[in-house]
Amino acid sequence: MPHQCLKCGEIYEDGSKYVLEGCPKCGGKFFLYTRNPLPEKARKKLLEKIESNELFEVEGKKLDEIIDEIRKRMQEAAEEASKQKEKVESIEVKQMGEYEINLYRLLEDGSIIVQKEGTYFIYLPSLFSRKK
Amino acid sequence: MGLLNRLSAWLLSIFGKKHVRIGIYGPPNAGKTTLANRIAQDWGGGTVGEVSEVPHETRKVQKKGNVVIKNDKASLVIDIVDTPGIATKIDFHEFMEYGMDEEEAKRRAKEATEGVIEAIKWLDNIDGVILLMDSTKNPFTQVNITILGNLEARGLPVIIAANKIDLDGSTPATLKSAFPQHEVIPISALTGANIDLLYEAMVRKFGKKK
Ligand SMILES: [Zn+2]
Repeated sequence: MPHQCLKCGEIYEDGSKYVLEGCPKCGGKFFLYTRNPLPEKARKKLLEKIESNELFEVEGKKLDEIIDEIRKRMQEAAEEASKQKEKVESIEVKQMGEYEINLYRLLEDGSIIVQKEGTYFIYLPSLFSRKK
Repeated sequence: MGLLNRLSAWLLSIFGKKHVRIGIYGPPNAGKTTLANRIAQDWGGGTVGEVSEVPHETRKVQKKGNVVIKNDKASLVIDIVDTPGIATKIDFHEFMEYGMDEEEAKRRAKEATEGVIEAIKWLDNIDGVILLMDSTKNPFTQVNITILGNLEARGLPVIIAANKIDLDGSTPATLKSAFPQHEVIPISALTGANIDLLYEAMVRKFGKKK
């Protein structure tokens, strides 16, 4: 599939080698792997997003400190995740187009309970019948 | 290819059936469709879905069926199942950033939410999971931890693939240390780097379990 350089928009039919070397035209390092090239505005947007990516950094230089930090973050995420167990709904509709998803409930239960403004709706599984 | 022959022999003996479904799961934009396409191309030709920069672009489960792996003794049919990104919050404002109007963005958000439900429902039909994480991102998320916990409870074999090692800032080593009890393979679905390691891991990991 073609690669498009996000910086200058150049399209390379087989661009896989440039992904490591950089764009021959502009030196850009990020490529989109797509059949549908992006217009300049969308490329800029995407490039900004990639470059401002919140990278995962562990503070502290000693191994012990790094391990402690990892444990701490793991613990925090696990606590955050276990809060979901206390909620009965699997989906909360905050407003149309804004949803909070209780993964724990969805993964554990077969039924789907949607909460909207304090009212609960139970969806029958047949509504989400799966395609084989 | 020798490796693929070994893989097919393993999967055939382990699962004891001719049709095996491997699901690719993970948060939005981890590169699931890119990986699905890569596997489909390596093994069977063709692609699974369109890759997009817009998160939640895969809003329906997409299946590349009948990827046939043959050796001289047997043939095995694998389905690669590409699933919608799993998230805990979906907000239409995110789609509006990509130039959609409000109505379209809200429709997308609803579909993305239904996509999460569909992806999870599909776990019942899956024989093994590749959990794809973005190695440039914080791995300690509710999504990763909740999914892993549930896969363990289901006894589904899982491989963590740390994707995007081609990008600056990728820290696959962190993913390895974060999930020491799991097999973590750093890959680039985009460039194909280390993809052979992933196939080998599929042999080992999906091989051991059942
Ligand atoms: Zn360029």
